[in-house]
Amino acid sequence: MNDIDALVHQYRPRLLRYVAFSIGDQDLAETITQDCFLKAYNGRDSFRGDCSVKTWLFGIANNLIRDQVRVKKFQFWRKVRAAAVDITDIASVMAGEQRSPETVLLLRERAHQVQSALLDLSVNQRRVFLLRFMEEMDLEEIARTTGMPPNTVKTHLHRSVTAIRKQLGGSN
Amino acid sequence: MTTPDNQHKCNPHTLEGNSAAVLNSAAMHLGEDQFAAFALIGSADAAAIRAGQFDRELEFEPDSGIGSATLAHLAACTHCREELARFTESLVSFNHLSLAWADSRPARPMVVHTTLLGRLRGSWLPRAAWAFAVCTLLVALFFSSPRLNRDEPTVASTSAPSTQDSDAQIANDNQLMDRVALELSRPERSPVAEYGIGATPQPSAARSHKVAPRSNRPESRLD
Repeated sequence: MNDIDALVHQYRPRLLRYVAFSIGDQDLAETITQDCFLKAYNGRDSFRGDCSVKTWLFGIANNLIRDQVRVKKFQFWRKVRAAAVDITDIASVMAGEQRSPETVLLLRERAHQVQSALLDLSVNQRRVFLLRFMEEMDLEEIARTTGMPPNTVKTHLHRSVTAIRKQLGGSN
Repeated sequence: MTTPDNQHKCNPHTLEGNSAAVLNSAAMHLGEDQFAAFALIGSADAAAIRAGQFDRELEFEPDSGIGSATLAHLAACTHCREELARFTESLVSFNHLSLAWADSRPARPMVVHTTLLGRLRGSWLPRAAWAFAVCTLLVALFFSSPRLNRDEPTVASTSAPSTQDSDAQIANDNQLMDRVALELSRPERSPVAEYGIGATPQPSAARSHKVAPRSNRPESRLD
Protein backbone atom coordinates (compact mmCIF):
# COMPACT_ATOMS: atom_id res chain seq x y z
CA MET A 1 0.00 0.00 0.00
CA ASN A 2 2.93 2.34 0.50
CA ASP A 3 4.19 1.87 -3.03
CA ILE A 4 1.80 3.75 -5.23
CA ASP A 5 3.68 2.82 -8.38
CA ALA A 6 3.13 -0.85 -7.69
CA LEU A 7 -0.50 -0.17 -6.90
CA VAL A 8 -0.98 1.70 -10.15
CA HIS A 9 0.88 -0.89 -12.16
CA GLN A 10 -1.19 -3.73 -10.78
CA TYR A 11 -4.68 -2.26 -10.76
CA ARG A 12 -4.77 0.68 -13.16
CA PRO A 13 -5.80 -1.15 -16.35
CA ARG A 14 -8.71 -2.93 -14.68
CA LEU A 15 -9.77 0.16 -12.81
CA LEU A 16 -9.56 2.35 -15.89
CA ARG A 17 -11.54 -0.15 -17.90
CA TYR A 18 -14.20 -0.37 -15.24
CA VAL A 19 -14.57 3.41 -14.94
CA ALA A 20 -14.37 4.00 -18.68
CA PHE A 21 -17.08 1.51 -19.56
CA SER A 22 -19.20 2.56 -16.61
CA ILE A 23 -19.36 6.22 -17.58
CA GLY A 24 -18.53 5.93 -21.29
CA ASP A 25 -16.03 8.78 -21.38
CA GLN A 26 -12.39 7.84 -21.60
CA ASP A 27 -10.96 11.26 -20.70
CA LEU A 28 -13.12 11.51 -17.63
CA ALA A 29 -12.32 7.90 -16.81
CA GLU A 30 -8.60 8.62 -16.74
CA THR A 31 -9.13 11.57 -14.44
CA ILE A 32 -11.33 9.53 -12.12
CA THR A 33 -8.86 6.65 -12.13
CA GLN A 34 -6.04 8.98 -11.17
CA ASP A 35 -8.16 10.55 -8.44
CA CYS A 36 -8.97 7.08 -7.23
CA PHE A 37 -5.31 6.18 -6.77
CA LEU A 38 -4.55 9.48 -5.09
CA LYS A 39 -7.45 9.03 -2.70
CA ALA A 40 -6.40 5.47 -2.02
CA TYR A 41 -2.84 6.48 -1.34
CA ASN A 42 -3.76 9.41 0.88
CA GLY A 43 -6.27 7.30 2.75
CA ARG A 44 -4.20 4.15 2.93
CA ASP A 45 -4.21 4.32 6.72
CA SER A 46 -7.97 3.82 6.66
CA PHE A 47 -7.64 0.51 4.82
CA ARG A 48 -8.37 -2.04 7.52
CA GLY A 49 -7.81 -5.13 5.45
CA ASP A 50 -11.33 -6.47 5.91
CA CYS A 51 -11.66 -6.69 2.12
CA SER A 52 -9.23 -7.11 -0.72
CA VAL A 53 -7.28 -4.13 -2.09
CA LYS A 54 -9.11 -4.61 -5.36
CA THR A 55 -12.52 -4.36 -3.68
CA TRP A 56 -11.37 -1.33 -1.74
CA LEU A 57 -10.07 0.42 -4.86
CA PHE A 58 -13.20 -0.34 -6.84
CA GLY A 59 -15.25 0.98 -3.93
CA ILE A 60 -13.38 4.30 -4.11
CA ALA A 61 -13.85 4.37 -7.87
CA ASN A 62 -17.57 3.73 -7.41
CA ASN A 63 -17.87 6.70 -5.08
CA LEU A 64 -16.09 8.91 -7.60
CA ILE A 65 -18.32 7.67 -10.42
CA ARG A 66 -21.41 8.31 -8.33
CA ASP A 67 -20.26 11.84 -7.51
CA GLN A 68 -19.43 12.54 -11.13
CA VAL A 69 -22.73 11.27 -12.42
CA ARG A 70 -24.61 13.21 -9.77
CA VAL A 71 -22.84 16.48 -10.45
CA LYS A 72 -22.68 16.29 -14.22
CA LYS A 73 -25.75 14.29 -14.98
CA PHE A 74 -26.98 16.29 -17.93
CA GLN A 75 -23.60 16.95 -19.47
CA PHE A 76 -22.79 13.33 -18.90
CA TRP A 77 -25.69 11.97 -20.92
CA ARG A 78 -24.95 14.35 -23.75
CA LYS A 79 -21.33 13.31 -23.86
CA VAL A 80 -21.78 9.60 -23.43
CA ARG A 81 -22.19 8.68 -27.05
CA ALA A 82 -19.77 11.20 -28.49
CA ALA A 83 -16.80 10.26 -26.29
CA ALA A 84 -17.53 6.57 -26.08
CA VAL A 85 -14.55 4.29 -25.79
CA ASP A 86 -13.65 2.44 -28.95
CA ILE A 87 -12.03 -0.90 -28.33
CA THR A 88 -12.11 -2.15 -31.87
CA ASP A 89 -8.99 -0.23 -32.83
CA ILE A 90 -6.84 -2.53 -30.71
CA ALA A 91 -5.57 -4.51 -33.67
CA SER A 92 -2.96 -6.62 -31.94
CA VAL A 93 -5.30 -8.33 -29.53
CA MET A 94 -6.39 -11.84 -30.54
CA ALA A 95 -4.15 -11.79 -33.55
CA GLY A 96 -1.62 -14.09 -31.96
CA GLU A 97 -4.08 -16.62 -30.59
CA GLN A 98 -3.98 -18.98 -33.58
CA ARG A 99 -7.38 -18.03 -34.88
CA SER A 100 -8.42 -17.44 -38.40
CA PRO A 101 -8.89 -13.83 -39.47
CA GLU A 102 -12.60 -14.54 -39.86
CA THR A 103 -12.83 -15.77 -36.28
CA VAL A 104 -10.94 -12.77 -34.99
CA LEU A 105 -13.22 -10.51 -36.94
CA LEU A 106 -16.28 -12.27 -35.58
CA LEU A 107 -15.04 -12.05 -32.00
CA ARG A 108 -14.31 -8.38 -32.42
CA GLU A 109 -17.77 -7.86 -33.79
CA ARG A 110 -19.25 -9.62 -30.78
CA ALA A 111 -17.13 -7.59 -28.41
CA HIS A 112 -18.38 -4.50 -30.15
CA GLN A 113 -21.93 -5.73 -29.71
CA VAL A 114 -21.33 -6.14 -26.00
CA GLN A 115 -19.99 -2.61 -25.86
CA SER A 116 -22.99 -1.25 -27.77
CA ALA A 117 -25.34 -3.10 -25.48
CA LEU A 118 -23.55 -1.65 -22.47
CA LEU A 119 -24.30 1.86 -23.71
CA ASP A 120 -28.00 1.14 -23.56
CA LEU A 121 -27.83 0.13 -19.91
CA SER A 122 -28.12 2.45 -16.96
CA VAL A 123 -24.94 3.35 -15.12
CA ASN A 124 -25.84 1.06 -12.24
CA GLN A 125 -26.58 -1.86 -14.55
CA ARG A 126 -23.29 -1.30 -16.31
CA ARG A 127 -21.39 -1.17 -13.05
CA VAL A 128 -22.91 -4.41 -11.82
CA PHE A 129 -22.42 -6.15 -15.16
CA LEU A 130 -18.78 -5.12 -15.44
CA LEU A 131 -17.98 -6.11 -11.87
CA ARG A 132 -19.64 -9.47 -12.38
CA PHE A 133 -18.33 -10.43 -15.78
CA MET A 134 -15.11 -8.49 -16.18
CA GLU A 135 -13.88 -8.46 -12.59
CA GLU A 136 -15.50 -11.77 -11.71
CA MET A 137 -16.82 -10.56 -8.39
CA ASP A 138 -19.59 -12.48 -6.68
CA LEU A 139 -22.85 -10.80 -5.73
CA GLU A 140 -21.75 -10.21 -2.15
CA GLU A 141 -18.57 -8.49 -3.27
CA ILE A 142 -20.43 -6.36 -5.81
CA ALA A 143 -22.88 -5.28 -3.12
CA ARG A 144 -20.00 -4.33 -0.84
CA THR A 145 -18.16 -2.48 -3.60
CA THR A 146 -21.12 -0.53 -4.94
CA GLY A 147 -22.93 -0.04 -1.64
CA MET A 148 -26.09 -1.53 -3.14
CA PRO A 149 -28.23 -4.11 -1.35
CA PRO A 150 -27.68 -7.64 -2.73
CA ASN A 151 -31.21 -7.80 -4.10
CA THR A 152 -30.65 -4.58 -6.04
CA VAL A 153 -27.46 -6.06 -7.42
CA LYS A 154 -29.40 -9.13 -8.54
CA THR A 155 -32.02 -6.98 -10.23
CA HIS A 156 -29.42 -4.93 -12.09
CA LEU A 157 -27.58 -8.08 -13.09
CA HIS A 158 -30.74 -9.72 -14.34
CA ARG A 159 -31.69 -6.72 -16.47
CA SER A 160 -28.22 -6.21 -17.83
CA VAL A 161 -27.82 -9.86 -18.80
CA THR A 162 -31.22 -9.80 -20.47
CA ALA A 163 -30.25 -6.71 -22.48
CA ILE A 164 -26.84 -8.04 -23.49
CA ARG A 165 -28.29 -11.43 -24.35
CA LYS A 166 -30.87 -9.77 -26.56
CA GLN A 167 -28.21 -7.64 -28.24
CA LEU A 168 -26.18 -10.74 -28.97
CA GLY A 169 -29.16 -12.35 -30.64
CA GLY A 170 -30.14 -14.62 -27.80
CA SER A 171 -33.58 -15.80 -26.78
CA ASN A 172 -35.82 -13.73 -24.59
CA MET B 1 -34.94 -18.28 -11.06
CA THR B 2 -36.53 -18.53 -14.47
CA THR B 3 -39.70 -16.75 -15.41
CA PRO B 4 -41.89 -17.63 -18.36
CA ASP B 5 -40.97 -14.32 -19.98
CA ASN B 6 -37.33 -15.09 -20.33
CA GLN B 7 -37.72 -18.67 -21.47
CA HIS B 8 -37.06 -19.34 -25.07
CA LYS B 9 -39.00 -21.85 -27.09
CA CYS B 10 -36.70 -24.80 -27.53
CA ASN B 11 -36.98 -26.49 -30.82
CA PRO B 12 -37.58 -30.19 -30.12
CA HIS B 13 -35.58 -31.08 -33.19
CA THR B 14 -32.49 -29.63 -31.61
CA LEU B 15 -32.88 -31.58 -28.40
CA GLU B 16 -30.69 -34.53 -27.85
CA GLY B 17 -30.93 -37.32 -25.35
CA ASN B 18 -33.96 -37.47 -23.07
CA SER B 19 -35.72 -34.52 -24.66
CA ALA B 20 -39.13 -35.28 -23.20
CA ALA B 21 -37.81 -35.06 -19.68
CA VAL B 22 -36.05 -31.86 -20.53
CA LEU B 23 -39.15 -30.26 -21.98
CA ASN B 24 -41.24 -31.22 -18.98
CA SER B 25 -39.23 -29.03 -16.70
CA ALA B 26 -39.65 -25.33 -17.37
CA ALA B 27 -36.93 -24.52 -14.88
CA MET B 28 -34.38 -26.20 -17.08
CA HIS B 29 -34.37 -23.42 -19.63
CA LEU B 30 -31.57 -21.03 -19.08
CA GLY B 31 -32.59 -17.87 -17.32
CA GLU B 32 -30.44 -14.78 -16.93
CA ASP B 33 -29.17 -15.86 -13.55
CA GLN B 34 -27.91 -19.09 -15.02
CA PHE B 35 -26.38 -17.18 -17.88
CA ALA B 36 -24.68 -14.93 -15.38
CA ALA B 37 -23.22 -17.93 -13.66
CA PHE B 38 -22.31 -19.74 -16.84
CA ALA B 39 -20.66 -16.72 -18.35
CA LEU B 40 -18.12 -16.70 -15.55
CA ILE B 41 -16.50 -19.81 -16.81
CA GLY B 42 -13.40 -19.50 -18.92
CA SER B 43 -13.16 -19.61 -22.67
CA ALA B 44 -11.86 -23.17 -22.57
CA ASP B 45 -14.97 -24.29 -20.74
CA ALA B 46 -17.10 -22.32 -23.18
CA ALA B 47 -15.44 -24.20 -26.01
CA ALA B 48 -16.07 -27.47 -24.19
CA ILE B 49 -19.74 -26.60 -23.81
CA ARG B 50 -19.93 -25.71 -27.47
CA ALA B 51 -18.39 -29.02 -28.38
CA GLY B 52 -20.79 -30.83 -26.09
CA GLN B 53 -18.02 -32.10 -23.86
CA PHE B 54 -19.83 -32.32 -20.56
CA ASP B 55 -17.76 -35.14 -19.23
CA ARG B 56 -14.95 -32.82 -18.21
CA GLU B 57 -14.91 -30.89 -14.96
CA LEU B 58 -16.26 -27.38 -15.40
CA GLU B 59 -15.37 -24.77 -12.86
CA PHE B 60 -18.67 -23.42 -11.68
CA GLU B 61 -19.08 -21.21 -8.70
CA PRO B 62 -20.40 -23.07 -5.65
CA ASP B 63 -23.33 -20.65 -5.28
CA SER B 64 -23.98 -20.19 -8.96
CA GLY B 65 -27.27 -22.00 -8.78
CA ILE B 66 -26.39 -24.26 -11.68
CA GLY B 67 -28.12 -27.49 -10.93
CA SER B 68 -27.84 -30.88 -12.53
CA ALA B 69 -31.16 -30.30 -14.30
CA THR B 70 -29.77 -27.20 -15.98
CA LEU B 71 -26.65 -29.06 -16.99
CA ALA B 72 -28.79 -31.83 -18.38
CA HIS B 73 -30.79 -29.34 -20.39
CA LEU B 74 -27.64 -27.74 -21.64
CA ALA B 75 -26.30 -31.10 -22.69
CA ALA B 76 -29.50 -31.85 -24.56
CA CYS B 77 -30.41 -28.48 -26.08
CA THR B 78 -28.17 -27.37 -28.90
CA HIS B 79 -29.87 -24.02 -29.07
CA CYS B 80 -29.15 -23.14 -25.44
CA ARG B 81 -25.67 -24.53 -25.64
CA GLU B 82 -24.78 -22.47 -28.68
CA GLU B 83 -26.33 -19.37 -27.27
CA LEU B 84 -24.43 -19.75 -24.04
CA ALA B 85 -21.20 -20.38 -25.90
CA ARG B 86 -21.82 -17.32 -28.07
CA PHE B 87 -22.60 -15.24 -25.03
CA THR B 88 -19.52 -16.43 -23.18
CA GLU B 89 -17.21 -15.94 -26.13
CA SER B 90 -18.55 -12.45 -26.68
CA LEU B 91 -17.83 -11.54 -23.10
CA VAL B 92 -14.40 -13.09 -23.24
CA SER B 93 -13.64 -11.13 -26.42
CA PHE B 94 -14.89 -7.96 -24.86
CA ASN B 95 -12.83 -8.71 -21.77
CA HIS B 96 -9.62 -9.11 -23.80
CA LEU B 97 -10.21 -6.13 -26.03
CA SER B 98 -11.26 -3.77 -23.27
CA LEU B 99 -8.36 -4.76 -21.07
CA ALA B 100 -5.98 -4.32 -23.99
CA TRP B 101 -7.47 -0.89 -24.58
CA ALA B 102 -6.97 0.05 -20.91
CA ASP B 103 -3.40 -1.27 -21.02
CA SER B 104 -2.68 0.83 -24.08
CA ARG B 105 -3.72 4.06 -22.38
CA PRO B 106 -0.64 5.80 -21.00
CA ALA B 107 -0.71 6.48 -17.29
CA ARG B 108 -0.51 10.09 -16.22
CA PRO B 109 2.29 10.91 -13.82
CA MET B 110 1.12 10.68 -10.25
CA VAL B 111 2.15 13.52 -7.96
CA VAL B 112 2.31 12.12 -4.48
CA HIS B 113 3.64 14.16 -1.57
CA THR B 114 6.44 12.19 0.01
CA THR B 115 8.02 15.07 1.90
CA LEU B 116 7.07 15.98 5.44
CA LEU B 117 5.16 19.02 4.22
CA GLY B 118 3.41 16.88 1.68
CA ARG B 119 2.41 14.35 4.28
CA LEU B 120 1.15 17.11 6.52
CA ARG B 121 -0.73 18.54 3.60
CA GLY B 122 -2.26 15.16 3.06
CA SER B 123 -3.38 14.75 6.63
CA TRP B 124 -4.41 17.52 8.99
CA LEU B 125 -3.37 20.60 7.06
CA PRO B 126 -6.27 20.56 4.61
CA ARG B 127 -8.68 20.30 7.51
CA ALA B 128 -7.00 23.22 9.27
CA ALA B 129 -7.00 25.21 6.06
CA TRP B 130 -10.65 24.47 5.51
CA ALA B 131 -11.46 25.40 9.09
CA PHE B 132 -9.58 28.69 8.72
CA ALA B 133 -11.30 29.42 5.43
CA VAL B 134 -14.72 28.70 6.90
CA CYS B 135 -13.99 30.93 9.92
CA THR B 136 -12.81 33.73 7.65
CA LEU B 137 -15.91 33.37 5.53
CA LEU B 138 -18.16 33.46 8.57
CA VAL B 139 -16.46 36.58 9.91
CA ALA B 140 -16.71 38.24 6.51
CA LEU B 141 -20.37 37.30 6.25
CA PHE B 142 -20.97 38.63 9.75
CA PHE B 143 -19.48 42.02 8.99
CA SER B 144 -21.06 42.31 5.59
CA SER B 145 -24.40 41.12 6.89
CA PRO B 146 -27.40 43.35 6.11
CA ARG B 147 -28.26 43.07 9.79
CA LEU B 148 -25.35 45.36 10.59
CA ASN B 149 -26.46 47.80 7.95
CA ARG B 150 -29.83 47.86 9.56
CA ASP B 151 -28.22 49.01 12.82
CA GLU B 152 -27.79 52.56 11.58
CA PRO B 153 -31.48 53.16 10.92
CA THR B 154 -32.15 51.50 14.25
CA VAL B 155 -29.93 54.03 16.04
CA ALA B 156 -31.54 56.84 14.09
CA SER B 157 -34.99 55.63 14.96
CA THR B 158 -34.21 55.40 18.63
CA SER B 159 -32.91 58.97 18.71
CA ALA B 160 -35.60 60.39 16.47
CA PRO B 161 -38.37 60.79 19.09
CA SER B 162 -36.24 63.36 20.94
CA THR B 163 -36.12 65.61 17.90
CA GLN B 164 -39.48 64.91 16.35
CA ASP B 165 -42.58 66.62 17.61
CA SER B 166 -45.05 64.65 19.57
CA ASP B 167 -48.76 65.42 19.62
CA ALA B 168 -48.43 67.04 23.03
CA GLN B 169 -45.62 69.28 21.83
CA ILE B 170 -47.64 70.29 18.80
CA ALA B 171 -50.58 71.10 21.05
CA ASN B 172 -48.30 73.17 23.32
CA ASP B 173 -46.91 74.99 20.33
CA ASN B 174 -50.37 75.69 19.04
CA GLN B 175 -51.41 77.01 22.40
CA LEU B 176 -48.33 79.21 22.47
CA MET B 177 -49.05 80.48 19.02
CA ASP B 178 -52.64 81.14 20.00
CA ARG B 179 -51.43 83.17 22.95
CA VAL B 180 -49.05 85.09 20.75
CA ALA B 181 -51.84 85.71 18.24
CA LEU B 182 -54.07 86.83 21.08
CA GLU B 183 -51.45 89.24 22.33
CA LEU B 184 -50.92 90.59 18.87
CA SER B 185 -54.60 90.95 18.20
CA ARG B 186 -55.13 93.22 21.23
CA PRO B 187 -55.79 96.79 20.26
CA GLU B 188 -52.85 98.88 21.22
CA ARG B 189 -52.31 102.50 21.05
CA SER B 190 -49.90 103.31 18.35
CA PRO B 191 -46.85 105.26 19.47
CA VAL B 192 -47.56 107.59 16.63
CA ALA B 193 -51.06 108.09 17.93
CA GLU B 194 -49.72 108.72 21.39
CA TYR B 195 -47.92 111.68 20.02
CA GLY B 196 -50.90 112.68 17.97
CA ILE B 197 -49.21 112.21 14.62
CA GLY B 198 -51.26 110.91 11.65
CA ALA B 199 -54.00 108.41 11.67
CA THR B 200 -54.51 105.57 14.08
CA PRO B 201 -53.33 102.26 12.59
CA GLN B 202 -55.88 99.60 11.70
CA PRO B 203 -55.59 96.79 14.26
CA SER B 204 -57.67 94.49 12.09
CA ALA B 205 -55.07 94.61 9.31
CA ALA B 206 -52.31 93.70 11.69
CA ARG B 207 -54.45 90.99 13.17
CA SER B 208 -55.28 89.47 9.83
CA HIS B 209 -51.63 89.56 8.86
CA LYS B 210 -50.51 87.75 12.01
CA VAL B 211 -53.32 85.25 12.27
CA ALA B 212 -52.79 83.62 8.86
CA PRO B 213 -49.52 81.81 9.65
CA ARG B 214 -50.88 80.87 13.05
CA SER B 215 -53.82 78.99 11.59
CA ASN B 216 -51.60 77.29 8.95
CA ARG B 217 -48.94 76.17 11.27
CA PRO B 218 -50.52 72.96 12.63
CA GLU B 219 -51.38 71.86 9.14
CA SER B 220 -47.86 72.41 7.89
CA ARG B 221 -46.48 70.47 10.81
CA LEU B 222 -48.81 67.66 10.22
CA ASP B 223 -47.59 67.49 6.67
